[in-house]
Amino acid sequence: MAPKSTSTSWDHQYNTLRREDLFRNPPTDHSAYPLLQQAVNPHIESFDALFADDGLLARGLADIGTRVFLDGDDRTPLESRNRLSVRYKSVHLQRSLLPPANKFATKREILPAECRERHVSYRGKLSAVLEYRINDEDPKEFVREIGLLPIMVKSSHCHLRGNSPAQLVARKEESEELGGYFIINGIEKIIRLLLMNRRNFPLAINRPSFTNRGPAYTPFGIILRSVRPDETSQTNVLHYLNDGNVTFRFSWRKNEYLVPVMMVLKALVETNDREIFEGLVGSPDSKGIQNTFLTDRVELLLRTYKTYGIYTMSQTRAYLGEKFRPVLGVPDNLSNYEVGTEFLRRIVLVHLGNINVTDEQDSDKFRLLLLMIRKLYALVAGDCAVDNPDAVQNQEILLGGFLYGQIIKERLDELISSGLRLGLREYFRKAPSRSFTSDEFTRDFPIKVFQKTNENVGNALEYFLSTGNLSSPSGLDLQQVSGFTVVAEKLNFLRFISHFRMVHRGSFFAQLKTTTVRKLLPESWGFLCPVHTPDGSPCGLLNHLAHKCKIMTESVDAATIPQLAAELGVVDTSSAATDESVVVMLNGRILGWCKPSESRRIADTFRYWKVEGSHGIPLQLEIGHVPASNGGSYPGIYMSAEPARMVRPTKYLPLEKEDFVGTLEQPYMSIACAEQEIVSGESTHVEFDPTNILSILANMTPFSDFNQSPRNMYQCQMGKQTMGTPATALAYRTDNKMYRLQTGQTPVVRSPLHNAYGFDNFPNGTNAVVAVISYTGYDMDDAMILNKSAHERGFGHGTIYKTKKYTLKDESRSKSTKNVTKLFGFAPGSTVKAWTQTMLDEDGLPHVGRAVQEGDVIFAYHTVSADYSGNLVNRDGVTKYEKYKDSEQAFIEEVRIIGSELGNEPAQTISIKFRIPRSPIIGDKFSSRHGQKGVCSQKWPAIDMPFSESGIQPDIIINPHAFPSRMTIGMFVESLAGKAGALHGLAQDSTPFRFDEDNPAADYFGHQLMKAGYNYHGNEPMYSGITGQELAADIYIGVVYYQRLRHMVNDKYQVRTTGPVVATTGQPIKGRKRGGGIRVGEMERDALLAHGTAFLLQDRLLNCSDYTPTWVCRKCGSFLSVQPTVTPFGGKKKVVNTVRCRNCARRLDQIPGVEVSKLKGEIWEDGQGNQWVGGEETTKVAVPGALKYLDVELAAMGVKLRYRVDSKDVIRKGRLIQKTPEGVGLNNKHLPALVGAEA
Amino acid sequence: MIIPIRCFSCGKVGFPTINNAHDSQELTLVAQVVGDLWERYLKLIDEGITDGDAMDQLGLKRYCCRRMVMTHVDLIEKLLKYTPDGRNEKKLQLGKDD
Repeated sequence: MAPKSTSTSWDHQYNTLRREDLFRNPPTDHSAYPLLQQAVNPHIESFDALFADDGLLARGLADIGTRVFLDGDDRTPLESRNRLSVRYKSVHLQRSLLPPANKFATKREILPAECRERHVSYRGKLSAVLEYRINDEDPKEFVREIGLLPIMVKSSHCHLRGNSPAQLVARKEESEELGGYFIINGIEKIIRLLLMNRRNFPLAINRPSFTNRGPAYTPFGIILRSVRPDETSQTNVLHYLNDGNVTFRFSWRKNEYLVPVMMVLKALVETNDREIFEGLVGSPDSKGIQNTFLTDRVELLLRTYKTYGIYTMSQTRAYLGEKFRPVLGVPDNLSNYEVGTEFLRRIVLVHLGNINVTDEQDSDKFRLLLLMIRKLYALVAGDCAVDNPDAVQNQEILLGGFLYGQIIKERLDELISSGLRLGLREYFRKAPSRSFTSDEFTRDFPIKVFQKTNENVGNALEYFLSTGNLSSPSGLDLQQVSGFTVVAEKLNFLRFISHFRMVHRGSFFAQLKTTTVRKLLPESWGFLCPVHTPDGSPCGLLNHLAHKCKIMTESVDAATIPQLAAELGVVDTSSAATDESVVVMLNGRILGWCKPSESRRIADTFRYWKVEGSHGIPLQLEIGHVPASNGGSYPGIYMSAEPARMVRPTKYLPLEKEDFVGTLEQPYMSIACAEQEIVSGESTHVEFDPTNILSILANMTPFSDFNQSPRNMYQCQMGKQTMGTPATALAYRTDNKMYRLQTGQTPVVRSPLHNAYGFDNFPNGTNAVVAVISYTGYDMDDAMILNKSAHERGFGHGTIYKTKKYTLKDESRSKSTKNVTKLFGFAPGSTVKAWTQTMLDEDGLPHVGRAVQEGDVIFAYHTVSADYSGNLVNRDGVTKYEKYKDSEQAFIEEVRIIGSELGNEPAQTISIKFRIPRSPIIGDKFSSRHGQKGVCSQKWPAIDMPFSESGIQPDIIINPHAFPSRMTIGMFVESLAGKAGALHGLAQDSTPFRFDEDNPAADYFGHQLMKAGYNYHGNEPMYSGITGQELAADIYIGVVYYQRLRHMVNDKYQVRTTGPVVATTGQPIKGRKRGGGIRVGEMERDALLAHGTAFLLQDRLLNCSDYTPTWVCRKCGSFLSVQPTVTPFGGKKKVVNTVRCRNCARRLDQIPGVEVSKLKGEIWEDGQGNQWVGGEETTKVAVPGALKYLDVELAAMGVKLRYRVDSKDVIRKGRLIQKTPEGVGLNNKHLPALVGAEA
Repeated sequence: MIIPIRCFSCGKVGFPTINNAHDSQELTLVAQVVGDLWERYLKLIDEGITDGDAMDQLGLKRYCCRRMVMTHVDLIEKLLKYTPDGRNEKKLQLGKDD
């Protein structure tokens, strides 16, 4: 009997046995959680699209085309120069395999788990098949290996592709491994999804910055992002000028160019002014001709172009070719006409033809350009509204794989254009006598020339993935150069899965001052989750896809559409009047025109057919029918079958079948939210479920419809910061930091999606008994009290795993350090102290399971060098040790010895995983699933906790004040439902929008509680744990799922009494890691001043900071002139007992006719042995160290500071009298404060 | 991961329901914990008993103890799939030798 296929349908029940069975016996057919894989699939499919036959790269190679090089120099006539043509035939990616140089391994494949463990990248060999041909000889093929390309896990080139959960487990992966990310140096990286302008659709834009382009420019423009079949794009913009003229703008290799649109029109097809006029305005008998606004401007457009004096297509192309020859990088042997054709091929409306462009394609481009001009004039005249580029309606998604392919294509292009050109130039510089036809060249050609180029394409992509920076000469038509990749942190599973559903608007918009781009627009309904966006700086820019939203990764077949459209009455003639004719477009190509009244019929017919599945119309085709309106969006039928669109399932009412709705069409459709909201005659669709608009995470918030909306946003944030179960293949993971909860439970209150997404594989919290009381006062201000006994029984207990990689090799990029100079282990013959022996094993590596403190040694190593026979020997007999540097006690969990990939080198790297136990302590953060976070303030002894009549004591006490202002009623309902669920043994379905006014949730769960013998409202009488008296009020107590957040005091506390200081000022250094202080800043200072706490202020700002007792001369008032005397009898001990002012003293040998016995004062000696007298009026004062520093800095600028130490020294107002200080004694005990300073 | 030994909140479960009065003497004195109930719970629900009834039979009265068993996720089963190469086989071998 064939084994039963693994069921994939889930409800909200516990399914304990089914789950246990899945745990014990991972399915051998397919995963039980297909939704998870679907959530990640856009990433994987976009990568798969690259290397398929006729994949994106193959199309990209066709677009790159043939590169032609000429030998000789510019002075030789063209005819006598030889041509070398090079082109790519194909590109191949190998799976991740060991290099052939490794002679030891029998298993050749490198699995992702091995890459993670070894901290290396998961990549495969990339090779290109090229073809070259000299003059008109027969083409010759050759292959170049172009580096190791990082491979997306679970993509078509990954070993894990199609593996069953059982196989995945055997390959050291999660049973539900999703893939979709790259492994770079052992770290999982993903390419973020980016929102882009919708492709091949003319967007009407009003952007004030357009006026900056020149004097006549207006804010009006039409932007069309034209996408080639290989997913690279070229944006074309039309600008409206004050006088009615239109220019065509594009950017090429990061430079902008402006061309009169007439020139582009005339270059595309052989045309005349009449054709252009009628193409823009309409035939002479159409209504469009009455639009004088339009006719005036078109006339001007045609007239002003006369000044160029270019009439025919070939003239225009030649003109364009001449102008753009330098920037296009074309070979010299191309004529201007050919360069002009190349210009049109590469830049103008490339989606309509970019390879071997036919006349028909050129005419398509011509017609689309006319439509764009028409829309531009309509925009200026106010006949059509602007399109909002921030609305999801006009957006699509740039998928990671597509971007990856774009970069590969550009690198390949670079390699055979500028790379090869440089290689050839270098070659001929060394051997100028040779030519392409010479024998030496034919011998040398591919290999010796290519060796000079930088052909490591794989490395460039690895750099891209590890940094997220795009280094590209063309900019790839993107608005940003960095921030493309992020680490897919496995903090917990919610966070991990969210990374794949994350859509970013682009880092360009993050810097924008205006907040319009961040706005939640109604167009996003069902595509982007309204709840799941972070608060703070990325708010509204970083969105998450609704869980039912799908991203198309390949074109659907719409080949029958043009024929069907023609049959439905789409014609070729048009008019500028939108009440007369509207456009019918497919994938940015104009199929024809129809009457506005007919457009609805056509669109509806297409939709019926598409849902029905007849007439060869694919279900995912988007039929954007924009109806004619008075000044609304430009009308037409815009159909799209292309990839990168967002679509979502809804129910089509006429057929009661699933239909996929796209972003462009949705605003013009009537989709009822629920069955009862269907309006007869208007609604065409109905939602399958209102929760479809929420993201995966937002769906996990129970009863989110009961909460105030920002609370649900907070929960989406905190769910991702929860200390949960990051993975189950923990033994094979080497993440830098991993948080893990010891006893995760499945929530009592959850929605069916919890099971469908398999969140029970990665429990994320604990069901806690929560009482809402103000009990001890320790629950004020969002603090919460933890039951000490609950804590002792393991409630909320967690662990942190830290992995550190230690390598004996120089990590520097230079390849010079290839030799082994150090080895792990004790140096042979060296003495090993007893205390290190207990810490390390015989091999010099730590014992697994050992507790390590700060300063403990964790491994031993010694230096080696090669002897005469190449053996590595230690010569100094010295063992060196690496120490554990963290202040927190940890345990050695795992030690990994990492060899080289070739297997020909002794171990140079180890990676140690430390385990740090973290039971909850005061100051750790917890939260419920309703944005109610709190910090543990006390672990209250169980004997003093309140208890209910059935003897239940809460695990957690929270303050009732947490509710009124936050209005998280969902948490109350969860508490009720949780309690009732535990009593009856039920899993409670918490899907939002299931209850309403007529049958409220409180009733439903209240009755359940009543049945179990509890209070209907969830209250229970409770007794004080201290006095044993019944509390005056009944206490709301129930079961709530609590998350322990990763923010823990042990990672945050910052305390210091004394410690390291900045050398120049003597103030404490900053930084928690280095034992620094927390700055009492300006505002803190203000607060202390306002409170009048002068002593505290003095203490903070001086005594605990840069308090410095300093010698100063009272006479000259200087810090800088004082110096300690040196006694010749003191010996080596340096005791400062006397300090003298050198400025006020006189050097003995410089006093003429000195008589020692008659001198006043003592004679003292400086360090050089010079004898001085005087300068005795020094004293010690307490000043801020910064003041002394300031004095020195000012002195360096020639500014002298003079300090008055005593108020007696104040310069008297009025006539200046020279005063000598009197009664000045040196008294170190009482330091006089500085009275004032004068400069 | 593995079921906690005691109920977090109360540390005990109710006295088990005992049909046989003769040997109940010592049993009733022992405070029960939840740590030993998981296997029995699985067995009971495997017999087709509902979650609620199974917990009743195990003597789980208070909702604090009931949630311990009901919502427990026995992740250890999953983690045991990832023991280092050959260790499982070695252990099985050791068991046979005894």
